[in-house]
Amino acid sequence: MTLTLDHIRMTFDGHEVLRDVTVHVDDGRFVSLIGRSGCGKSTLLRVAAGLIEPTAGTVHADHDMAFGFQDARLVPWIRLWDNVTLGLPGRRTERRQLALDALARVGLADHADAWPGELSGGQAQRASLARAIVRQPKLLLLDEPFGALDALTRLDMQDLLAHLQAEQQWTILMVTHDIPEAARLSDRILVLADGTIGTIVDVDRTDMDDEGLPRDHEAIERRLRAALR
Amino acid sequence: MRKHALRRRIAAVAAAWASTLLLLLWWYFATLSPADTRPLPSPAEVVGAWNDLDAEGLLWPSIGISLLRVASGLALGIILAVPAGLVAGASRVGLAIIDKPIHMLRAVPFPALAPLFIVVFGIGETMKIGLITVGVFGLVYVNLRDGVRNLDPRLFELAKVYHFSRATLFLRVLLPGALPGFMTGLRFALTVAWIALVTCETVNSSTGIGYMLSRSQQFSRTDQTVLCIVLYAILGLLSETIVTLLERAALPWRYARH
Repeated sequence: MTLTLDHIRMTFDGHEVLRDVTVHVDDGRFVSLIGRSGCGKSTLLRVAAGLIEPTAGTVHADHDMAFGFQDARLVPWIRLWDNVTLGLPGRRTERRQLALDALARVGLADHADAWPGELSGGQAQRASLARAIVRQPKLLLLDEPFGALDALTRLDMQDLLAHLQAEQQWTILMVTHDIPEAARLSDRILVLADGTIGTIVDVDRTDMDDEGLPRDHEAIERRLRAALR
Repeated sequence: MRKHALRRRIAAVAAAWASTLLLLLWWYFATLSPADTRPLPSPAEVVGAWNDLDAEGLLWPSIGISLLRVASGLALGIILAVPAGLVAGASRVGLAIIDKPIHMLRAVPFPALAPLFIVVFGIGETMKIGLITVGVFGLVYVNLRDGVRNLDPRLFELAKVYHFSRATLFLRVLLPGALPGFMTGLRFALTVAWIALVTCETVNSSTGIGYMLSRSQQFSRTDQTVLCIVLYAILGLLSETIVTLLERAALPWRYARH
């Protein structure tokens, strides 16, 4: 098991954000966590990443972990390739080669020496995925990674993420508020409401249509919308 | 294309200097009347003052020693302010300990410190450089402190998720992130350094632009007074240019095309 969150409770100043949340993510699975804004889904992801301690409950997460933020979070004064491998050990030339390989994977080979401020939102998210690739994680936690992108770029990025997951065998837990995105990418979708997982929807990914969506995606999306109402 | 860019550049430089040129022209025409009918010396008289002071052997040593005093005070102020600013910006304990006293020091107009500095440091170079140092210190400190404090907290979250070492966090994130604040402080500090120079060079000096200025006042040599003002203006502009160039070199990511 790459990630297990067991009976997580989280209170902020007496206000209970997460009541009792249990999440298991099996190896190589893509699990999405959806919920209305302010429902605590990002908090749960931060608990999983070890960024914050839960009030109660236990967390078992693989140490080989990478995290993708909505804002891509590149350090503005560090060139792109250096951002990708920042914090990794090794000589500069080795780190650069590692970064160049990863940037090529996400289609940014030509931008290795750019400053983050010179990139578009989609390019910055690609770089953020490259930063995950070089760390060869088992577990990838994503916090609304494509939430700030325009619709077309978002679709491209979803394809790229699906491709990379298959290639790198990542186990992914992704927070999103985009129902079609969850249906398009996940094996399993968890709906977080009232501080707990209310609904679990499993997606049959062996039966896909021409647009890469599960054939029953409309039914899935209806169920999710109902659960979020 | 290149020709077009060059023409635009020339136009920009011309626009920037047009007002100065106009002022100089006004000065020239306003001082065409005989010398004893006007309070303001003419440009030619100021050039004459330059020649007089140069012949006296006072001009270049004065410019030299003034530059040296400003540079020393600036360097010393920066050396003291950088660790203080970093500590106060990065740690709450550091802020609690050093912020208040520094603010009290900053609240004192530094010319008011001159009499005290004379008593403590004597009337030599120590007192002069010390006074400039105080002025520089406060400004660099405050701006660097805020530069660190205003660093995007999300970058610290990034550092935590990806297990950056303390050295990486400090050298690659915190220090370069605080650099824009430092450069702002430096810009203000340079201005203050020149102001402090005038104050301290009126005390027991035999050289320096401030000395020439106060002597010209005593001897009613308005031509020399204006020359000193022009010298301050040129040196001020020069130091501003140096900071701008320094900033472009130090913050290339800010000047990259978006």
